[in-house]
Amino acid sequence: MASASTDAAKVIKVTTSDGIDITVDRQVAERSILIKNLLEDLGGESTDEPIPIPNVNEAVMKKVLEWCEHHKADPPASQDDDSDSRKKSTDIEEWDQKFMQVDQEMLFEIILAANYLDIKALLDVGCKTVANMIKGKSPDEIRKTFNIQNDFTPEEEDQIRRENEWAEDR
Amino acid sequence: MTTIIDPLPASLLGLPTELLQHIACFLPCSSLLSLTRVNHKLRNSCYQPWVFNTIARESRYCNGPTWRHANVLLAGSLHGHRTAYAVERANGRAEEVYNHWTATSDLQPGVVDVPRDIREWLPQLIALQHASSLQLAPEQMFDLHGQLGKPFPREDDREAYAMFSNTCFCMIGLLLHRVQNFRSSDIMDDMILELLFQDRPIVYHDVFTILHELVPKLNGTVREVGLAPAMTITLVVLTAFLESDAGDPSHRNRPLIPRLDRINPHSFMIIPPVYTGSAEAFLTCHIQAMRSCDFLEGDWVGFYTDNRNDNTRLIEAMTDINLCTRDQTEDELDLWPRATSVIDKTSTGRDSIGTFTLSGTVTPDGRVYMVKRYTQGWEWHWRGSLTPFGIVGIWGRDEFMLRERSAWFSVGGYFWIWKKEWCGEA
Repeated sequence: MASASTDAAKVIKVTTSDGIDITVDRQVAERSILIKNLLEDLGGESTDEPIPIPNVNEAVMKKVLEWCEHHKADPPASQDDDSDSRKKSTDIEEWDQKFMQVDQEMLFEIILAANYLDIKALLDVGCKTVANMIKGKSPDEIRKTFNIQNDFTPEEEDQIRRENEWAEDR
Repeated sequence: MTTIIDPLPASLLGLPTELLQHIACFLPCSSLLSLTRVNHKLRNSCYQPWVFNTIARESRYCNGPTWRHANVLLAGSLHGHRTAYAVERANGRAEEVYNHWTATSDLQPGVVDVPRDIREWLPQLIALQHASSLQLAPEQMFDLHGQLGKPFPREDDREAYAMFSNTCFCMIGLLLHRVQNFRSSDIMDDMILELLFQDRPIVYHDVFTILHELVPKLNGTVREVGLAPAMTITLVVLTAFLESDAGDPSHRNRPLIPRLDRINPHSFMIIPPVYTGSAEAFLTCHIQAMRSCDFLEGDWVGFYTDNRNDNTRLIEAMTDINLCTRDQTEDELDLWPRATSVIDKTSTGRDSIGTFTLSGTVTPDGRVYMVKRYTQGWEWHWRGSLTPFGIVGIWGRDEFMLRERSAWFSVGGYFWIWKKEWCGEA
């Protein structure tokens, strides 16, 4: 248990993929299950050494830590199962909505970082944000939104349309 | 910033499959169907049965209810996408402003065009107690019920017969659900009916008239009571019961009507998949299990109405019914169709008149014929059908008319019995 190591440092350092060291409150950094487990594995040992985070650059890491700072007091995600505790919140709270008002590249970087760092709540907020961008759109509108090329042949498109015919309303 | 190694900016298509699927699980089914038409990668990643199953079960996209009985439709089926779509429709219907469903097409006057909801998914979702479907109001379907019932569908017109009967199923299920929720709350008793029928008080105050009008029509002509008439009798009798003194919760001999969550329809119905044109399959999916001796055997309760005189509002409880069943014997094979279950004459029951025995048959297609014989001596004949809510029909007796040398079935009223275990608390 993390709380048992009373002497554990209050602040830690992480090194991002672009070689920048960031100092952060341990409690904030521990929203990341990856970092939390790493620190626990180190036990009571000195954590002066920066923790390397080779998959996340500085800009994204700062953004992620901003989210962790705001949510540091949230109750921890339950360990038993990932389904129940997290699914009852498709409405994104206001602060998170503002937080997610970033360009698409940053949005997907945050999702990838949250996945790598194992921050389930942030991952869900990111995925819900993308889901909201998809919701109610036609395939063509989705292509425009995410700049995706249609690689179906006309025959394939036709076949899929036929497969979905049952769902056309009235 | 020049040290960034990633050659490609992060994008939707750059996400690994499991993250695309995670996003997909937050979509309503219709949006997922659109997403999977965008390109090959999105189709291959997200058009997955388990993704549709998750959406059907959890409705994450709208904070919907978790669906306890979803597996009945999802387990081992290839219809996750259809089920998820039905759930989306149900969630949408629950959000909608209250309106009346009707069956007449705007495009072709006179053509009966049943809403797809009833045709494709609503009966299934009510049977499986999906919370959004249970938020619909039975009154919403009253006009539809009336339209589908005029003229009353013939049994060999399976489509119309199924639409009518399934509409009744939805209304009865919704009504039972609403009553069970009122019963467990602290709302004052005399408010219940007002709340139950707030929308159509006049129509529902007329149910006794409807019952009385039906009787002369049934008189003489009825040899048997099919499923659709049995369903509409259930609906009308249930409504009459709720409107009557007997429906008053303070009434001493008030029979406990069944609870939808105790009936648990899927425990004996073989529920067909949604959006597969399975309305006719739904119509009869309760019969195979219910007609068996195993199901029929045991404790039943119920009530009957006495409609022999106008203005009688008599609803009598029948309690302590114990049905004893057996398979038909070799000798009886000539009498009834094969696989008929026999209600043995050792079956008993009790009402305010006295104790009685019951005996009769349940045919493979769900028709029920019984004789109720009071220990004092006289008897009544029951003609009814198995419905998902019990055994329902009419009671009366053959009157022999000497001049015409023929028998005339004189109807006394209606009966409805159900398994005792369907009453009580959840």
